[in-house]
Amino acid sequence: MGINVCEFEFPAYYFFFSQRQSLNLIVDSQEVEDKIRAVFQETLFGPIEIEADADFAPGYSMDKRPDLLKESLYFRKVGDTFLEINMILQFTHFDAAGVATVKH
Amino acid sequence: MPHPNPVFKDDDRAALRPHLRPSTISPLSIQVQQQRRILVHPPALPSFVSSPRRSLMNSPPPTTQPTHRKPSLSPKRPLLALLPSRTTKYTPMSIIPSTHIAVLAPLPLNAPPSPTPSLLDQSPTSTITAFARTTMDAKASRAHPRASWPANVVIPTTSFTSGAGNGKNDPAASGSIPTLISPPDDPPPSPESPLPTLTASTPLVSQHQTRQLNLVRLPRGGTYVATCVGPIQVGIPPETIKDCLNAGLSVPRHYVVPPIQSTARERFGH
Repeated sequence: MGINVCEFEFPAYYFFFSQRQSLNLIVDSQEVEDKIRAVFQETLFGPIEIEADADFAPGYSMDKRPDLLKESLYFRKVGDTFLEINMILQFTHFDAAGVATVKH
Repeated sequence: MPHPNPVFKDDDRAALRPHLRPSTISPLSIQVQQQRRILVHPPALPSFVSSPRRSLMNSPPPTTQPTHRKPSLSPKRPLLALLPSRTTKYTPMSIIPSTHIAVLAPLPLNAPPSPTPSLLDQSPTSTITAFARTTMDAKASRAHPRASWPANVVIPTTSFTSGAGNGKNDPAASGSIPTLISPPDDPPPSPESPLPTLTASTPLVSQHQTRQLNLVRLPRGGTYVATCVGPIQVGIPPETIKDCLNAGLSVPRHYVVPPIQSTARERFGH
């Protein structure tokens, strides 16, 4: 275990829900962006696909299993807006020369 | 008795803290060894600056010289309230080699004229000339009365800095008071450095154009740098947003994520 040095979740929520702005993360590469997107997708919106075998006990009746994917999609709606990661997070990459440009 | 949660051991914080400073040469640092720079551009001047009424109201251009009145802060004209003050202009001013954060910011009109070309006319990779922000020390103190430390620190403008502080030797590392960073002088970068070497005779920036930027070392880690596009924070340890809020600082909207090579385990678990 160690200390998380990428605790962007609360700042992202602060800016999105309070300031109506997106957070800008300056990252090294597309790989880092993809990982952050995957983490944020999982923590905020839930999994993209539901694995019934992993999420429910083997003997649990199929009729009683909730539609988790439908629930997660429902909670992604704020009024008429469907929340997307791009609304909350933006990414700026360092280029090959190690330069990242941040604009207002 | 040691803290039961190993995540929040002070030793870990002390070991992590140098990696979140823009001025360190730690493998996790994004500035020196990793050769990372951040260029910050100011907000572009809207096209209707010279004639706001024509653009906003979609009316024909005036036949007479438009009068330059101070923009009203009335809610009926919210766009004009966003315009920069007419007493400022954009001028190249400063270098921030220790952080490699090149900043573009307004400068008062009464400042000495710049003898150098604009950064906007040059390749971003060929210069680290910056536009420094006018000092915010007094203004920031008035705007944020809760800030309990002087927001004024001098950043060396003619030499790279790599004086990574050891967390144990750093008095600020053990305290909970946000500390201003004044990076020590460092040896010049290696010849194979892809970044241009800054010397005292760097022609792009003269000494009288130097201004100060504000760096704040947050108690929980990370470094807060005030720029013209808003503050930028290097490293995002947990709850550092509280450090900013408690200190009366604006919450940064731009964050530099440390390199993944050395922190993948901590951040992503693999």
